[in-house]
Amino acid sequence: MPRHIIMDPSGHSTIEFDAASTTDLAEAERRFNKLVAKGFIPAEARGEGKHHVPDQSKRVFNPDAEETIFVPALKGG
Amino acid sequence: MMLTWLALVLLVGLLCWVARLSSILASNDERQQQEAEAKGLALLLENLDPRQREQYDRSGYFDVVGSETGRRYRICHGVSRNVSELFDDNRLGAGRCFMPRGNLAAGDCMLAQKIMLENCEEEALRVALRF
Repeated sequence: MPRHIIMDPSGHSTIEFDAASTTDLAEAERRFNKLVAKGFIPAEARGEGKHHVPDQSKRVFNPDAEETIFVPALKGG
Repeated sequence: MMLTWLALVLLVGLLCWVARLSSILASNDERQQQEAEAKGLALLLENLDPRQREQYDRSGYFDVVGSETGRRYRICHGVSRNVSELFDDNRLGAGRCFMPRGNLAAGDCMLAQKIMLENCEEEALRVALRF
């Protein structure tokens, strides 16, 4: 089942959704867009420690992604 | 006299109750922090490649290759001032301090640094401060 993993102070939250359900997909897309608008960076996990992060201008919901990790916006330390 | 004693006993009781409550709240915070650290670390380990996993288990750090420059970086366990460039002979070079916003667990923070350097190196270096 596809999932969104959102990094937060709790050690991240995981939300699974059913890719066959149009309601779930619409909700997942809304969540994706909301997080990206807040500055989160979506990284699709590709297995074996590999990830794919789209360019800043191409960060749109991919309904085929099995696992997307949302990294909060970065700051310099 | 009796009233003074009663007031004193009530005051001591109240102070004991406040101290107990503070202790319970502090231990809850500590437990939540420990749970967050454990979850963050589990996610990091799931997302390291086999070589990085072995390196992290052995030494508490792992190396990544920058997506744009091909430069190597070492990410040490931690949440800040834990990323450094690596020379060809594995000596540590300049530090690059950047992290995700929010109070994240170390595992999540290190995973965010790995993902960014391996995929959007320039975006990460743009905000990073040298140390």
